[in-house]
Amino acid sequence: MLEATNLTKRYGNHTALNQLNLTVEPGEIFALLGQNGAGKTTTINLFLGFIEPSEGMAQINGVSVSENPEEIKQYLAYIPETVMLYSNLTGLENLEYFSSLAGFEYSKTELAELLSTAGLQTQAFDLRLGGYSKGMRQKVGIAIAIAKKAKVLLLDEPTSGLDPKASNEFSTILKSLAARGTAILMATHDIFRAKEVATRIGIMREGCLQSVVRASDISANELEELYLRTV
Amino acid sequence: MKSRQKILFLECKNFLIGKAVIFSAICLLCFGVYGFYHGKTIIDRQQKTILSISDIQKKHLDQIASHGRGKPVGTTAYYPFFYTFNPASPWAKFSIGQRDINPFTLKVKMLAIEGQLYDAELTNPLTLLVGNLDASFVFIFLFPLLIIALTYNMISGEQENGVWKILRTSTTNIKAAIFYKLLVRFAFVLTMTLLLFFSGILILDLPLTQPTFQLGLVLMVYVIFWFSLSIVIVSLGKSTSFNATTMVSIWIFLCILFPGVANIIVNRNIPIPEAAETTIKQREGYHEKWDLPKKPTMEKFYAVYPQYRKYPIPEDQFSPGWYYAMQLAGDLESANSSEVLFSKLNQRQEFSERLAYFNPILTAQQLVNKVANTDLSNHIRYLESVKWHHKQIREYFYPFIFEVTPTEAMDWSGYPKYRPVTYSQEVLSSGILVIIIWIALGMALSIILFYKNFIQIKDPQNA
Repeated sequence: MLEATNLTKRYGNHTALNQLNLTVEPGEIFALLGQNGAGKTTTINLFLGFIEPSEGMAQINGVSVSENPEEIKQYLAYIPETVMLYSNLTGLENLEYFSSLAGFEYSKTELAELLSTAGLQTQAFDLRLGGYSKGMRQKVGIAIAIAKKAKVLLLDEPTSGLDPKASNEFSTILKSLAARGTAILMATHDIFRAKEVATRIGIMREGCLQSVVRASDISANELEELYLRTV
Repeated sequence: MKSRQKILFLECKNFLIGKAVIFSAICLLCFGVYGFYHGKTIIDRQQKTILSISDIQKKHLDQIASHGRGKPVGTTAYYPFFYTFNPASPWAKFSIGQRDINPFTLKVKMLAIEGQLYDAELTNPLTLLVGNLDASFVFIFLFPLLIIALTYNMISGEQENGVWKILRTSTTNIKAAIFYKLLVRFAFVLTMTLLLFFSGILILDLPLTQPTFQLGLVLMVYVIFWFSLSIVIVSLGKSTSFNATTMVSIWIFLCILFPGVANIIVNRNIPIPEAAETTIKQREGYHEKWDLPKKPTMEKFYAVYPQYRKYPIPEDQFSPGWYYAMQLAGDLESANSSEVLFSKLNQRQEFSERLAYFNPILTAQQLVNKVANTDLSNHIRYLESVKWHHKQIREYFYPFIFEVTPTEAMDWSGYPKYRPVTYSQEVLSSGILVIIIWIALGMALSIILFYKNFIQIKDPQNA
């Protein structure tokens, strides 16, 4: 579903991402851990088609990102660290706008259901987004991804700044999305959240994927030790 | 509602709820209403003055004729003024143009005309400092600022606050998303233009005739030009601050610097020493005659009016016939300079119009003033009509002067009445075409730049 083959990105003499080989299957959550500058966001941006690879190839659903940057947009959804949407519109209207833009037509009831699925409280549906907390915005972002029926979900530090309850809710939603067959690639600093939610965890350092472990094969403490050893 | 309609509706809602949009729209409407009020006040005041002229003229001539009883016409004819006026077109309220700096009434005596054509009233310097905030000013100078305010952060704002990345990944057709954003803003700008323009038609009572439609067309094309220019800047894919700075700089350049430089270029390329020369020649041509024998002066007069040769002009004493012949001599000696002066004024106007091809703001201003008949050409036509009227007045009085008719025996109301210049409807197609060419260039460039910076290229900001 999501595949990187010798994916490399250089900025001048600096190599931001070096020969990344990675596959994320449908239903899998792959968490990328690493310090700032390790290459996590670069990887996400390469899959999003925001930047051109210097070498190698990123593929989504078997389609090359750099060769078909528009086509791959139909398969993916993206949730950044802070989901910024139109603050003058309500949560429901934002969802309606972005899902319509993606080519999906939903009734008000269906849109409300999507927001509920994403965990947003009903009374917030018709409030302007300007008054939403970060967690509520993330949920609208998730709802957009669900509405779009995205096969791939790319997340860049999605739980950063969320309180533990919101973070936990977010993890639950991600797991349910994965259960529906969505392939999820998540860049994060949160070791414990990664351990809790991910299927596999990759640790990056200086643009290289140093190690990959299955979350079920390692305890949180062991993961932390591995992380500290690696970075 | 279908997807497209939903997107458009939500795009509209998102755009219109923005405080900056409402604030700038209200500001512009307020300025527009004040512009209508200002133009109406100025032109109504001028029209009131013009309407009072016939009564003033009649009273004035009655007083002169009464005062001159028992004296020959030649003596009395020195005193009366003959009033002329440049009536305002119905569209002058929309664009005052040069009507505030050029005289709209001139009173001329039978004396040499060249010294009387350039009389102007003192203007309150504070009024000059403020300038004319008429409707054309609002459209030509303030409307672009609204367009800048509505477009400068159209995409960059979303890039900077993070919405763009989600938008970019939400659709396979980013062209459509950009198009909807443009469409909403364009529709808003056009609505504002039409709203203000139709308000102008109602408030200023503009007739629904061709010039009004021409005016509307010019303004629409002009507004579209600014929109396309703003879109070119947006399509560069730079930051909000870059866009705002660039757009305002372009506005300053086109509205302030370019006209200033153009004025210098026009003045340097077509200097008019004849302006002072005409006055000097006319004054010298007349005054030196006091010290010269009368015969050469009279010969100049007879060359134009041979029918008065039969009347005796005593060489050793003052005679009205000789006095008015001296006045004419002054005009004759400055005639060439005067002709060159008018020709150069026309050349300046033409040169300005050619220079304006490089600046749609100047083009639009000139077109609006043309429609309103408040430009330099209109003033030149007015001055020519005054000269013609002066000639008719002289020729009406000459027989009475040379025949030494008593003042009371002359028909003082029979003098040729002043015929004001009529409304001139000039062809505007070349000016409009110039702006359309600029629009087409802007559109083409922005399409290329949008494709390059927002659709094709991939970089973290624009992708």
